Amino acid sequence: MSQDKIDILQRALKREREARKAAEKILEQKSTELFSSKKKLEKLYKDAESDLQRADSQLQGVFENIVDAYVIMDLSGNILKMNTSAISLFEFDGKKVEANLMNMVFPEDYDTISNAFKNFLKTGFITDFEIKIRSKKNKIKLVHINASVIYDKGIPVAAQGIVRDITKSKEDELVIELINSIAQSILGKLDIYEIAFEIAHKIANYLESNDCVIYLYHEEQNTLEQIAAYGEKLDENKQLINKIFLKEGEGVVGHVAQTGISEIVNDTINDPRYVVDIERRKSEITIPIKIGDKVIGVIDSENDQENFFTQKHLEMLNNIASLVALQLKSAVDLRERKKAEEELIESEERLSTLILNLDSGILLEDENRKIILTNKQFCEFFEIPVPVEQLIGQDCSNSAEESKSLFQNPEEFVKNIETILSKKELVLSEELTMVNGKIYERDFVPIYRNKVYKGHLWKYRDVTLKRQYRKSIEAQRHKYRSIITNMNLGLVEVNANDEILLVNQSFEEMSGYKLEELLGKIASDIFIIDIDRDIINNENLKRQQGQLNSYEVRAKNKAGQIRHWLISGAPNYNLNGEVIGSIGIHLDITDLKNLQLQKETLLKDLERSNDELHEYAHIVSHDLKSPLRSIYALVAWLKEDNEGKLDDMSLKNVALIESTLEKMEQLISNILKYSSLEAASTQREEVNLNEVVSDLEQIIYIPNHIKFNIKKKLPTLTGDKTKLQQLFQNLIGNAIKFCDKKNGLVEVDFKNSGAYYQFSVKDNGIGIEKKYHKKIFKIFNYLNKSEDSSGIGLSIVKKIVELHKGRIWLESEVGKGTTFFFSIKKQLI
Amino acid sequence: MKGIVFTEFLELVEEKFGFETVDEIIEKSDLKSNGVYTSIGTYDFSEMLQLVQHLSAKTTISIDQLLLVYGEHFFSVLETNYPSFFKLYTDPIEMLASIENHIHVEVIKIYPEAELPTFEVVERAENSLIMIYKSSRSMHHFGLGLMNKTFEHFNSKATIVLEKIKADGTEVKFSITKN
Repeated sequence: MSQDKIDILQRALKREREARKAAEKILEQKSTELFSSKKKLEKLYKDAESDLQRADSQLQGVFENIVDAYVIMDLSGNILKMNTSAISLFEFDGKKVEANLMNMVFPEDYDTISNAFKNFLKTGFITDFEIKIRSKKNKIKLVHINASVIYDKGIPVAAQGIVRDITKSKEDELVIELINSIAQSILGKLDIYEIAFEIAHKIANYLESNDCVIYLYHEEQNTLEQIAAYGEKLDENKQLINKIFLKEGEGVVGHVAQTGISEIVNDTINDPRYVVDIERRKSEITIPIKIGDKVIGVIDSENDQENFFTQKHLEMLNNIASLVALQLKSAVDLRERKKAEEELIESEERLSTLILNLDSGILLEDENRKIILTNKQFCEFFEIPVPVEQLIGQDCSNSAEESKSLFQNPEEFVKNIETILSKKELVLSEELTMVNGKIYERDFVPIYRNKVYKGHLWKYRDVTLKRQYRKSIEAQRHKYRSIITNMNLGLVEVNANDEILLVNQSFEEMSGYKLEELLGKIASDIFIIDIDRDIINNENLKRQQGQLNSYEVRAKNKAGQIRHWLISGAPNYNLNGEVIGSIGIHLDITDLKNLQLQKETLLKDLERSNDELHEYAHIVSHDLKSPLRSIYALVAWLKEDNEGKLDDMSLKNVALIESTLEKMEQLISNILKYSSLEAASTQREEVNLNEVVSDLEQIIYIPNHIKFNIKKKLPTLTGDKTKLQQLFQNLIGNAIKFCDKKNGLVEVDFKNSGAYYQFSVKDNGIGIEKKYHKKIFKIFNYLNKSEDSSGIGLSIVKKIVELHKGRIWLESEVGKGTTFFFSIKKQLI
Repeated sequence: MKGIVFTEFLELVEEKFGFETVDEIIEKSDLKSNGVYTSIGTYDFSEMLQLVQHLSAKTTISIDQLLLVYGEHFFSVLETNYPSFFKLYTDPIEMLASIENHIHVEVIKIYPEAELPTFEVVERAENSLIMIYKSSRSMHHFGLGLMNKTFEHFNSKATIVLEKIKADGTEVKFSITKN
């Protein structure tokens, strides 16, 4: 082994040795520390043990001699150990008793206890636990418990606790609490119902009776009103159920209100005063709420148990009653005041709105003529351009002067106001006419309070329209009255029974009766003759059904003459639309009726004489013809017998006789023809005028120098063919006859003209002077003495045209020609 | 620093490099304790520093490598002395994650004066763990050695990536992924 290695090993060994020593030193040090620690611990343990022992014995003494009850029980509630305080608390007879604490509690508290016990076992202790118990001697006590669990090797085996009787202190506490809480809850409250509810609520809780009603006494009505309650008297909205009013003296409550003395009724069944509210309960406590001797309300509570309420309750409630009395009173006063104020404000508001919007102008002044009240209408009447509110308080002393210019008689207006104001007497409906034409009506109402003048009220109404209406109604009435009076028609107003109410002057004249004679009489009885009575009854009936009618009757006037009356009737209605009678307009048509009768007679006469005339004309013309023929024959014989004997002159005269006779014959024929042109004999048939005219062309000789022209195809119409042929023959014949031109022209034309055809026959002949245009149509009027003109042709033409419902006229210029126009009805019926 | 760290270290040096090396590094170092160490004593950390530095110089193995090996060795010491610790865990990740909150708390109970590094868990998943190592000692590779052995103990393997957050190695991030 080299020295190096030896050195190394030696060093290593040395280091190891030193290391061991160091380690040993550390260990030694540690063990010393451990030893001293152990010593200390031993001492501490001893101290603790002796402390424990001392404390134990101390505690034992404390529990034995403690003022409070000390109880040890097993976990089922059986008492294992207790001190003397406990014995007296639970009212046991001796120290050695077997009792279970669970038997002392009330069944209703089982749940509470069960929960508390569970918690107690879990946490090991319980503090401030309060519970009601029934002592051995049946006394109800409220106890306060602090307790802890006793464990044996970690397992709970028993419980120990200190029990304190807090029945009395709790009661005192409750009383103070109640008083306090009532005082607090009603303090500052002004609503009577709220206050009463609080009181009821608090008292019901205190009494544990779940019932309390507060009554308010109304002195003026002598009644007691339920104003608040608690418990079954409230519905889910906290509103009173079966709210009753009691008369003073009615029920226990009414009685207490009367006497002012609080009462307990232990058994309501035996108290005749008892009034059932919601349900019958066994006992009742009733306390008056008084201020001095005056009852203002009543507190009332009831309970299902007999003898429930105690003297203590009574004292308590008396205290409460006196506590709340003042507050309740002031709330009642406040309520009344408020109610009155609200009503006042409301009615004032209503009134002022009413006044403001009134259609009369209102001005209320106080005794110093300051404006208290006015309205819009007033401002409008007096053209005051400021808002109504600004006028309040203004002085009116000068206002009459200021507004006088609005009036038609300004000075009179001012003077009048002064007079009224000085007299201070009621003035109604004075009429004032304004410059602008309006008429105001004014009332002045002085206001006296306790016979002292306090101001006055001016009231202006615009009666312009009313006046105008009245005037115009008056005017209308006047108008109609004068129409009725002066009209030529008789007016009769009757009621539903046909009794005459009114007749006008014309009717008086018509009937010959005066109004006085007719009033109230049955119209039909007086006037109508029996045979027409049916008509009247029938028409009256129609009128009552609301129909207008018009009819003729024969009536008898005062003189007994029968007159024909045309009556137009209309029903008369009242405002409700009911028929109350009728108004009849009467027209005496007797004269008219007579005229009509005359006319009819005349017509008949005329017809007869016409016929006679016709016959006569026929006979005359016929009779005239035969002597004419005889003359003609005699002249022919004369000429024949004297042939060759008669000189030329005689022959010429004979020829003249003959031609004159011919003319005579023709005249008579034409008269015969004319007189036979009668409507009665006029045929109605289809007539083709083209045929008529072409036939004529064969009959009439048309010289070569005259051109006959039909301008267009003529129509077919209904009429008398022969007569129409005569018509055309006469006109065309005339046209040809009176042609003086080298190149004559006759033209026939027509045109449509409504229900007529208008024909024309035109020539370029000699023409007719204007003055003859009418004359030529008259019989025997001929202008030109010509051998072949009888002077009767155009009158026949005119008659034929008229028989065909047409007319005839002409246009002509002398020397140039004539056009005859005539119209013929297309359909002759 | 607890004496056991020194005694175990010197035993390992003796086992690997012979007692001559042990003697040499003690002699070369200026040690307040003169190289006398008992496992129940407490010694200055600078002495360990000197010993490791001289060993590194002598063997030309880096200090980190030395500490890694030492860490791996030290794990067995812990396994022997504190087996109850290992029974608490069934999973290496779980164990490593609880260094700070559980293991070191227990260590402090036994060695109230122990100066311990902190391992702050940044991210943890079922099979991976990221922790920040912080210590003025910069002995992160000692820690790495312990970690390697931890996986071995639970018959598991892991890839552990080590990143220096501070160049002097006082703050290092370990990213551990279980294979």
